Amino acid sequence: MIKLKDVYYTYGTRYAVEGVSLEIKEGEVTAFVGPNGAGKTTLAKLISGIIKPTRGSVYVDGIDTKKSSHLEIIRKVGIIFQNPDYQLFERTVLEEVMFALKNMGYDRREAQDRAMKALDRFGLSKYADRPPLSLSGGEKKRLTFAIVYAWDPKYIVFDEPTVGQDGLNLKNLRNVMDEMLKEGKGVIITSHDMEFLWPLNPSTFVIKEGKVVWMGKMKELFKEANYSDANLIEPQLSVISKKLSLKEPALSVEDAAEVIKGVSNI
Amino acid sequence: MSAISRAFVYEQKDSWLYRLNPYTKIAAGLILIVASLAFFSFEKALSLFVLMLTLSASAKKLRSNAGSFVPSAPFATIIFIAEFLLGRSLLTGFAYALRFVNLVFSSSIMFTSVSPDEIDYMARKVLRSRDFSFLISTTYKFIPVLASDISQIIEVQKARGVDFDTKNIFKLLKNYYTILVPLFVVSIVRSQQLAEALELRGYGASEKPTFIYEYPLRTSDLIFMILILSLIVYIGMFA
Repeated sequence: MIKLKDVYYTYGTRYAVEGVSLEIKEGEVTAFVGPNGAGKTTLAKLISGIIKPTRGSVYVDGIDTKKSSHLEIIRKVGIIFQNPDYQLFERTVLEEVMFALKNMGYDRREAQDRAMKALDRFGLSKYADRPPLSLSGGEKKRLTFAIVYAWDPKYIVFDEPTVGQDGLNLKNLRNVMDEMLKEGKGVIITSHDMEFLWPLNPSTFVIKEGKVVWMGKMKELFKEANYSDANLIEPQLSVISKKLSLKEPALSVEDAAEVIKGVSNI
Repeated sequence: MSAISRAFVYEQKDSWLYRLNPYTKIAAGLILIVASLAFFSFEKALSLFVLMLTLSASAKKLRSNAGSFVPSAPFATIIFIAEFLLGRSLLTGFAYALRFVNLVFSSSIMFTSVSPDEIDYMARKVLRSRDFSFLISTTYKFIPVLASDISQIIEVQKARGVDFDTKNIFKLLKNYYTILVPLFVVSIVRSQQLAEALELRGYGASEKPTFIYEYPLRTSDLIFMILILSLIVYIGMFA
């Protein structure tokens, strides 16, 4: 479990995160949603230990991130950043995946095995010998997933994973997340793409100006308010569920279709 | 933005310094830099330091400019130790160390008080080449962007297990290599996008593009220049 206790973080004199307390369980999807600059990515960085709270504490499986090196925390919490160009620098795709594994002390053979498995998992093994910068935007993004997947962290943080992804890549991304959940991993997503998040019905924290202004299951979020002040657009399935006066909102098109056909009333 | 970045990046404040003509600010900055290099004795270096502290504080920039002490302090310490090892007196060691601090401090005062637009204006007036002046001012404008890129790349590489806190200097240098390639890639992509954006907004369409702002010389500029020159000459002759 990841626990944040009254966490503050400042950039200079500005609070990016202000008094946040929350819990994240493994084997679940958790989403941080909110407008740009709300502090979602800062929270993700705090959880992965690469920045330390200015005040308060972050515990990853009981380890206080302030009292331990980020190298210890990232073994448990892998974070996938939004922009692949910020991290790719090795000569080949295979070496790019092996880089983190070598940092973590895996011997060359095991690092190579793990890297190949991860590349295979994301459909990139055929590019193993190619320079990473020659890949397309979507492939580079998948490569960043493979990089983190290779060391098998218990929690994986996706920072704005849907940005710049086409329909097929989004479908693949959801499949990857489903499989990670089946493996018992904790999946943490920062995003404002409500259409992508809605079917996952994650435990949701609405972040605004560095504070948690709402928490609960996503399907409850729009029952109470439309949260347009947090720049959240209500997903179409939620809207149609309201129009159909459903007791519980439909989480998938299939659910909604069944209700419309009169097969079910959810 | 880190304290070091803030010490060298322009930030608009509501104070008398920002209302001066850019030529005045650049000239005063250069005078301070030259004085930092020219004043060897401890008394002169200390007087110049106090003068710059007063100048920075009255312009509401002390907090930003004080960030320049972060990178200069370790080098100043090395200079002091080296002077001591060479058998010079403690006072000479202090003077040489303070001279270095003054040099960085004066650069910080100059860079934080002249905006990229003012640099563009001056470069266009002086160099009479819009391309060259644009090159200079854009480079200056992109310093904070580059600083932000570097800090983001460092965080991304930390998330992959790169240790930037290691005490082993060779390992640290090797680890910094992981920043170079992404920084190049991001910078090249950005420069290409900037070039396209400029063309789309008519850059080069007119041989004599107009200026958005004009910066006339005022009495306050003259008074400030006389004051700063008098004080520097006084320190140089009598301190």
